[in-house]
Amino acid sequence: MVVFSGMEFLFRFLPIFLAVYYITPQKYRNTALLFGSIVFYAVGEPYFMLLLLASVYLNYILAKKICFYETEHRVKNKKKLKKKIIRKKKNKWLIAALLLDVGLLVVFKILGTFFGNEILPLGLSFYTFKMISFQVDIFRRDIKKLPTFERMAVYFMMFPQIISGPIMRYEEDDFTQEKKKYSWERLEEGLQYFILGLGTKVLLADRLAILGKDIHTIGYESISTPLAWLGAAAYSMQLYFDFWGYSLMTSGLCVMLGFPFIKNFDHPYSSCSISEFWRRWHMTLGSFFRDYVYIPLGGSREGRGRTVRNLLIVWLLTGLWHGGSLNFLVWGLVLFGLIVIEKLWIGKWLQKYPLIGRCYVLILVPITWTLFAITDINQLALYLGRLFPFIGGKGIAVNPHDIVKYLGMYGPYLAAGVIWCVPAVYRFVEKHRKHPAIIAALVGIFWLSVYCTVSMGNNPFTYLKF
Amino acid sequence: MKWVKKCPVLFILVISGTLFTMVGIAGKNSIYKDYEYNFTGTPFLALMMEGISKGEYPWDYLSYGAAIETVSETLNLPMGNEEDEDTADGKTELFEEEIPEDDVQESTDSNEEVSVDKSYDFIAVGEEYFDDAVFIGDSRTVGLFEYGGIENRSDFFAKTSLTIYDALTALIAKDEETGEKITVEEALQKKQYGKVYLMLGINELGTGTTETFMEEYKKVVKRLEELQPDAIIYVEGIMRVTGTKNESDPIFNNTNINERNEEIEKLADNKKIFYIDVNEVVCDGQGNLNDEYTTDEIHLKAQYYQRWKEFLLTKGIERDGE
Repeated sequence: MVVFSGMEFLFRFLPIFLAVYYITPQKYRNTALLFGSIVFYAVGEPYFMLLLLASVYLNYILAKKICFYETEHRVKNKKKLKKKIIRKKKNKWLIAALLLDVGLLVVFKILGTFFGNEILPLGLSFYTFKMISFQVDIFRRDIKKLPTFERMAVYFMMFPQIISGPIMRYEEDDFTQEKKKYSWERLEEGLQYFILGLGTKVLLADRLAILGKDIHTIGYESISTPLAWLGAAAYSMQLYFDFWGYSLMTSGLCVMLGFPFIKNFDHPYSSCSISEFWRRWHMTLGSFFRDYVYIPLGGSREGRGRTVRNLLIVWLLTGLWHGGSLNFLVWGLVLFGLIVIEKLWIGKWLQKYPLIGRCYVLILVPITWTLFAITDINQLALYLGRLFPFIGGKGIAVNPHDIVKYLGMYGPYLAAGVIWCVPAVYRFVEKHRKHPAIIAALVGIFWLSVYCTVSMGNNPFTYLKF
Repeated sequence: MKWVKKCPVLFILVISGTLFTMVGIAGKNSIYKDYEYNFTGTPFLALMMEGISKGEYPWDYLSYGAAIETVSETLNLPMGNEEDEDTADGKTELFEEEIPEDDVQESTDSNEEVSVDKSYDFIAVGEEYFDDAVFIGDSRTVGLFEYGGIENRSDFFAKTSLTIYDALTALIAKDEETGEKITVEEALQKKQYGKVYLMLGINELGTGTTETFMEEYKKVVKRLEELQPDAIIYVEGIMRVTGTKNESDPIFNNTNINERNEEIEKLADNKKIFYIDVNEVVCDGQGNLNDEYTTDEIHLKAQYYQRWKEFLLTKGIERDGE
């Protein structure tokens, strides 16, 4: 049920939940959302439900402590000496909170590295990050007033965001506002975003994923160099459409429930540099690392050496957050290297010649995604060898015509994907979303996505036939 | 009803969703009655979608009802019989009636030409052996075509998800003169081959029983004999899956594969039809597909199709007078 494109979610959970939510008087809608989210999570992961509830509760207690020393004590004791002690005590509680949240994440990530990612609790990487940002914001007094337990629990657990983010901030937009904007228009708007996301995921990402599977079946040592590049390009699109599609669905759901639209992707593939790409890809993760790691470390204000060190820390953490195996570390380091080079030397030049910048991004990013995708280092070496045969990647039993077959099979999806990557196309759809043609198209996309999900779901091997 | 104007997408989805649900409910006990259904996982409208993906359209419902009525009226049968099977059986009966005459002729013909009682042993041959061969099969045979290195010697009528049920009717062959797509059957009528290699059966594991599968398999082999009277027909054992797949999959496991392979083997007469089993060279000690040869537990990695080809080269047949 935790898959937004699945039948259980689309035709069981969502309609029932929406009906209940909108029948509930406005005052109690947060409660309805909290219970809905608990049901949603419990169906997907009954065991780790307790872990989630426990950490939500503990975080509330700790947030209360941090808040207490910040507000109440300060009013009572105005002497400077006391203030220092208060500061110390406050620090203590923040450290406890961070130990809890970071510790939870680290412990499970380590377990995941050894026993496989299946043992990771659903959404852990995302909800712990929300908790960290929440505690730090309380500490920094970015969150002015300690929220009620229910409101905080809704923030941590709301079902649209629990699985894979976005890592929305508590203070973001009008999340905290007592009066939410409910209207038919917003319901419709949210639904439209949801459908766009659904189509992006089911009709593009899931199709392109099969190419990756095909290439894997052939064996990396036996693919031609053009096919290796086609695979890298297709994977780059697949990853984007999968995550962007999910993010659109999530934000669409949020809008349907009266919450703000959280932007997580801003057409990253039209960037002119890798730094820009990462400001526009998974934006909530990037801004998390910026606000809670990079800037507290001094950002770029303390000289070149420090800047480079801070970037290194951020990118190592980014790599490790995505996974514990060596390839993620390599991936993070490569991105670090590229971003440092841009920051120190070629960044301005790339922005000045956007065409060169775009080509540079479109060539380099698929290579970095290859590092991201292939977790087995030997397999990764084989694939890189096929991408760059001149550095010693001699193939075995390569069929030089394989590219023709796979271009024929996946060409239409790749072409559609390229078009859907163009920012102007998306903006056009957004702008004319009330036009009958767009409305008809959205309805079509919805049913086509449902059709694809159903017809593939019946195959015991989700994607393939022999 | 002000909301209708404000929410056109929502409105159309609600209306169409209701409509599709009604189709699903209506067909649940008739055209979709064989589909798996559970309340949480399959909304009624999913039945309709599944039907479309299988080529059974909602409007078939109308003719479904009508067909049953007429059949049961004329034959005095109770309602609810499986109409599809009835007609299929009818066809095959007709078909089988026609065949024996040809069969008799053929066997007498070949009796005169070569001593038919003689059986043959396998010998090692060179790659030129494949020059007059044709391969029919599913994605595994597609892999042999792409990576076996004999694509210039032999013809391949192979396609992913091909089954014994559409092996002869699939539009996967090419007319050598016009370049048009033709069925396997037509292609076999146009050109005579020395060897026909057939490997099918994994896609069918989920449908029917070994008996129903073999019934169709025999029909196909029989038809191949008619179409290619002079060819050696190799019926290949279905390639197995890996140990992990074998243990985890209730359908696509080696127990089921072996069961069908044993039946396929019985078709061999070692005169014209020969059974060969590539599992001999791609499986480990336990009889499962070797983990090293595959990444998806089902298909060989490209470089190991060579093993299959080498194996075929040890299974040459040389008949007298050839």
